[in-house]
Amino acid sequence: MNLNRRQLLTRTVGVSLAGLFGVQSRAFATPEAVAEAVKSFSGDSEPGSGRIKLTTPEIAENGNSVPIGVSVDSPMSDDDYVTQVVIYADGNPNPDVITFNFTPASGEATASTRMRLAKTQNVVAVAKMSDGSVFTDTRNIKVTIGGCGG
Amino acid sequence: MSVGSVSIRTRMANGSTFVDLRVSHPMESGQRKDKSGLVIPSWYLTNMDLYHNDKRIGALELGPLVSRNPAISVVLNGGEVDDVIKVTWIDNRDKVGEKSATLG
Repeated sequence: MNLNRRQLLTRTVGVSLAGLFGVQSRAFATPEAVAEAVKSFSGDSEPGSGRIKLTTPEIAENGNSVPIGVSVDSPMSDDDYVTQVVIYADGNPNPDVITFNFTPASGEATASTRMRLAKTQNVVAVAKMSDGSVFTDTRNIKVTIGGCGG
Repeated sequence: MSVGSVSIRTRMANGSTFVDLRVSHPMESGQRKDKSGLVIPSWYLTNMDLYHNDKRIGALELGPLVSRNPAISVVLNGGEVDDVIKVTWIDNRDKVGEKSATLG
C-alpha cells in the first residue's frame, strides 16, 4: 500500500475521529432494555416477588466496586431448586452483569460478588426455579463516583 | 499475584461449606481510555465453573461489569475434610486456568 503524506494524514485523523465519536455515542442500557431481558429470560411465566432477596448498599461511594449479594429461598433438593440467578443493571453500558448457575449440589442459592456501576441506577436480580417459575427483586443504588471509566 | 491466579478460602460450619473465591484479573471493561486517549481493550472473565470432588456444582457467567479481581462467595451443601474444591475459568481472550483447594 503506497500512501503519500496527505493521504496518511487524512486517514489517521479519520480513524481517530471515528474512535472519538464511537466512544461518545456509546449507548447505555435503559430500564426498557432490562425489562426486555427479564422478559426473554422468564419466558412464559410472570415474574413474582418474594423468595429472592438482593442485598446491596443504598449508597455506593465508589462505583468501581459495589458489593452485591443475592439469596433465594429454596430447599435446593433434586426436584425443587434454583437453576439460574441473573443480575441486570439498567444504567450501565451493558445490562448483563453476572449469571449464577446453580445445581441441587450447590447447597444454598446464595452468592455474592462485587460489580461496577456507572451511575445511580436500579439493579435487578431474577431467579429461575427448576419448575420454571421466576422471581425478581430490584434495588436502587445511589452512586457517588461512577465506575465504568470514561 | 499474576493474572489468573485464584485464591480459595473455605470455611465449614453447620453442615455447609462457605467458599470465597478471589481471582486476580484486570476485568478491563473496554470503556476506559488511557492517558493518550486510546481505548483500553476489554479483558474480562467470561465463565467460571465450580467443582466439588470433580462433580460440577455451579457455574458463573461474568461480564465486563464485574469489578477488578472478582471476589465471589458461594455456599455448598455438606463437605468433608479432604474434599477437593476446584475452580476453572476462561476469559474473553481464551486464556484458561484452574485452581484446587482441599477442605480441612
